[in-house]
Amino acid sequence: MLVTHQTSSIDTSKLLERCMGNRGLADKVMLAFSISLPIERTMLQQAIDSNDLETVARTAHKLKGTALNMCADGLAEVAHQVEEAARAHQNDVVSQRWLELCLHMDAVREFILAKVSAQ
Amino acid sequence: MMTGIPSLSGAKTDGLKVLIVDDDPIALDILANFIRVSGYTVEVAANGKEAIEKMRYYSPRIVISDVDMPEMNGVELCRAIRNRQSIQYTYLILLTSHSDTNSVLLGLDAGADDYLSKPFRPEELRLRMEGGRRLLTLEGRDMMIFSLAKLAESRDQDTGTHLERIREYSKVLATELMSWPKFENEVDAQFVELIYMTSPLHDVGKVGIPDNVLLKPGKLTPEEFEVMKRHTLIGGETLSASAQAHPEASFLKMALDIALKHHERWDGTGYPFQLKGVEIPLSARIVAIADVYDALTTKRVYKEAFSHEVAADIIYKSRGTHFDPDLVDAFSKVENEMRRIRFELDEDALELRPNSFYPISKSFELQSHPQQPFPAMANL
Repeated sequence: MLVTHQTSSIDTSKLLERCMGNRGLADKVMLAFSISLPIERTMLQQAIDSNDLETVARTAHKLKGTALNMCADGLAEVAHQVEEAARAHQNDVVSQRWLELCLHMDAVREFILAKVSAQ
Repeated sequence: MMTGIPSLSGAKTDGLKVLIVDDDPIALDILANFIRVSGYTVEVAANGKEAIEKMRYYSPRIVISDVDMPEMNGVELCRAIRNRQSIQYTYLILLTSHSDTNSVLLGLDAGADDYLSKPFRPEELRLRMEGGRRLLTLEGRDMMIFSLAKLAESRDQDTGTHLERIREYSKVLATELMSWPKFENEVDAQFVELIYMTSPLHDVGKVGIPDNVLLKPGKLTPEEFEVMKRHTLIGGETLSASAQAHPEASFLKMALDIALKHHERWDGTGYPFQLKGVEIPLSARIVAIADVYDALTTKRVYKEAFSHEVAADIIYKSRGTHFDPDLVDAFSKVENEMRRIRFELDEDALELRPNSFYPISKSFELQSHPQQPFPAMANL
């Protein structure tokens, strides 16, 4: 499992297109995403710890949607796998994918913070 | 230069109001920006409940909603919007994930007009919204047509829900013709839709008829009847100008045919041009029967309402003289439908009253004046 900035980052060109060339909006949503990621992570962790697979599926689904909007396709893909596994009540798969998802979330957040600090 | 950004040049949105509903603030921001840049006016809500609240004062024409939301989800929102009393249609687009096909079905069943997979593709969303805008424009056109017809009707004290019945009668007759091989090249679903839309304009020219003639309670003198007959030419002239300015608008052509020629008679003794047989456009021949049936079966200041049976008998006796024989035959096949419409849209329908008296008199018989065969039709 190799999670790097190449495999899990934000396609900023694509994001800028989705923001209709509005760089200020692109920066704003990236920052908002970086703030929401730790919250989502905590919610998922708590749901997994309490074996609440319904909440896991719902939270992973929401994370996937936001990641797709943010053009973070790698993160969206793993969030989708966690969601599907939770819906199928495959606890072992959820646990495996959860670790991978954490790495992706961290990588995306680091990517955003690096971008912000570079500006 | 940025590539891939959809061209928005030429977009004619007229600042149409759009409400976006999503519990994801990032999705809301991106979507709102795109729609705003596309020329629409945007408001946002975080869930269905908030959307309903905002609709009380914002009145959007298009609502774009996520499905999975707290408080009130997208499907519930669709249902709530459709259950509202509203004078205008709201176009609903649902945003769904690829795997959520069940929600799509539920959403469409609840009244959504369209759906889009998340994340939205800007060009696709723009085209879907354009489709919605076109539909809303058509609604505006229909409302304008009916308002114009109502304006003309408002000067005529006796007619009540006449326009509503005329378009229903015309639709029923046209729908019957759809299945006739003889009319297969002329009558299709679009024809039926157009006649439903334009038949209420048949008497639009009455706006130009003086009150002393239009509102006269008794039978018109020959001179007054000549004045009344001008309503076909006045309506024709009004609609002709519009039809020439917009030759692509087929509804204007049909409206013109109907307004100008619905008093022509199959045997060539009608007005204003004494057209004969199929020289009279089919739409006008249909409205002629609808108009006369309605005039016969409703109460006017100068006559009582005739029963359906009496009215139908008059129409059968006018087969090949006043009316197209095919249309009289069509009428015979849809008699029950005509009767049902009358019951539903005419509160004075005599058959609704038990033991009612039908004032059938000898005055139904054909008179010598070819333009005024029945007293009931004299003031039409």
